[in-house]
Amino acid sequence: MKEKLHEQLSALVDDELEAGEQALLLRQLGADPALHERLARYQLISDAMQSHLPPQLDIGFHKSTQAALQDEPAVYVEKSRLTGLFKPLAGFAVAASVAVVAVLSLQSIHGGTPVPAVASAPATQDYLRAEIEARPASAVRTPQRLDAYVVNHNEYAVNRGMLPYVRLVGHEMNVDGKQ
Amino acid sequence: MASNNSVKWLLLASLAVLVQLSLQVAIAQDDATPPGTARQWLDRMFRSLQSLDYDGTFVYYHDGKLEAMRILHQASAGGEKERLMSLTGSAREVLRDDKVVTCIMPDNKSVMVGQSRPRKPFPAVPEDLESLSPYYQLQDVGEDRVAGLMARVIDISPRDEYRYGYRFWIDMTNFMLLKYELSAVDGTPIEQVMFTGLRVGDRIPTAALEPSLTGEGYNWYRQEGGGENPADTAGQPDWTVKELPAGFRMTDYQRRRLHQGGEYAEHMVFSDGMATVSVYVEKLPANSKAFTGLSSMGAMNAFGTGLDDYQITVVGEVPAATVQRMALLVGRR
Repeated sequence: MKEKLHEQLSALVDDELEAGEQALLLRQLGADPALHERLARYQLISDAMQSHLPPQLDIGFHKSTQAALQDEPAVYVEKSRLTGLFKPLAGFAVAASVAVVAVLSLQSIHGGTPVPAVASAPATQDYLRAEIEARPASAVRTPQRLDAYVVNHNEYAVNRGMLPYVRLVGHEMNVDGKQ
Repeated sequence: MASNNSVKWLLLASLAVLVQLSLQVAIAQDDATPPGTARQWLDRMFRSLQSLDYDGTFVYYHDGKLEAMRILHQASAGGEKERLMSLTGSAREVLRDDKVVTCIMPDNKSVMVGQSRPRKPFPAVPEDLESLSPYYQLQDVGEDRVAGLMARVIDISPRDEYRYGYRFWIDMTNFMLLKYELSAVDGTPIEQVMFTGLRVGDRIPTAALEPSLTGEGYNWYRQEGGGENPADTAGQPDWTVKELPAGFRMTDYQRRRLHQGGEYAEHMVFSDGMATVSVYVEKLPANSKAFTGLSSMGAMNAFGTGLDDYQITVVGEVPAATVQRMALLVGRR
């Protein structure tokens, strides 16, 4: 179950997770700090492998990358590829899932590190329900409560040469929560 | 003695006139010097948008839809006033001055009043633009014509998929924005604004900046906090975003009440110099569930998720991947 979860986390980082699975995973992320930490590490590794790290890495950042990599046993396997990480890597884009699949296979060979159980019986039921209710992730519908945030945020985007309020005037609003 | 004094006064007065004249010349020269670099063109455009009076009609294109709007802008010693209204479909309007932003939405008979953020006379753009280089490439790509006017085209290309690319068409005489395009890192267009008619420089009468709708019989929603009380901006946020996308740093932090009767929300603002992303952390009212997932409004994406009893909402003019990533990596400091 936890391997499946980690695979889903990796797919989430790679933006390859189906909407139904995403809904369940988000719920679990909200309730599980260990899973949350793991997501942060996967994201850092993904950045590193896709060469998205800042050109001038500060030492602290470098250390945190190293720490993240060391936390992931499989990334040792990938380390020879990762040593070139801080040089420009034209066209080098490896999905984080490659590393993570390796993590999972290594963990299954060596028994892996214990991770707190995050899935319980109700979660399994949620999973089924989420699959049934699966909606496209890019739903355009603005949910209730969101518009107040959007109005507020616009004030921070006004100095950038665009006319941010055109989006409010050009899109349907639902400040009172009615769809 | 008397004549000596008169001479002194005359000299002083001429000196004062001379100083004033040379100051005026210096200012005029600054405005007259044509911008040399892409950065200077952008700087001039930001200034024109804030400091000129204008009345323009433009089209807004997004998600295969085209809408027509009108904008009226007045700049005076008292500050800026702006009115933006839809010319097609529902008569939505946004009015903005240095204190409040009022959004009138006839579709659902509601008015939302938020606080506007005091704008500096000229934004601190030069420094911001300096910090852009690792994440964007700035380029002057030549001249073009928009609405019958000659424009200089400035391109800002993103270097990764965490931000959008921008292209601005800037009037070559008054440096007004004539057109802009936002696109994804692969060049896919996301949204476009193009003026079809623009009058610049004529004084906009204050009466023209009044809303056409009174909002009577509408539901009114008001936002509070975020600046008027020193405690709103004091200290450090209790929350943080782990592993920010490269180039983003926190530029603002406030506590504000965004929903009537709701709890104070923590609001953190992150910027890479061009794009701005807001992160809101708000305690959920009892018995309500966090909204989760992605919503889009043209180039603006929002991602919601729950963490314990809190609603996490990230909003920004950045790709969906950026808001999703930031929302999922919000945690306690």
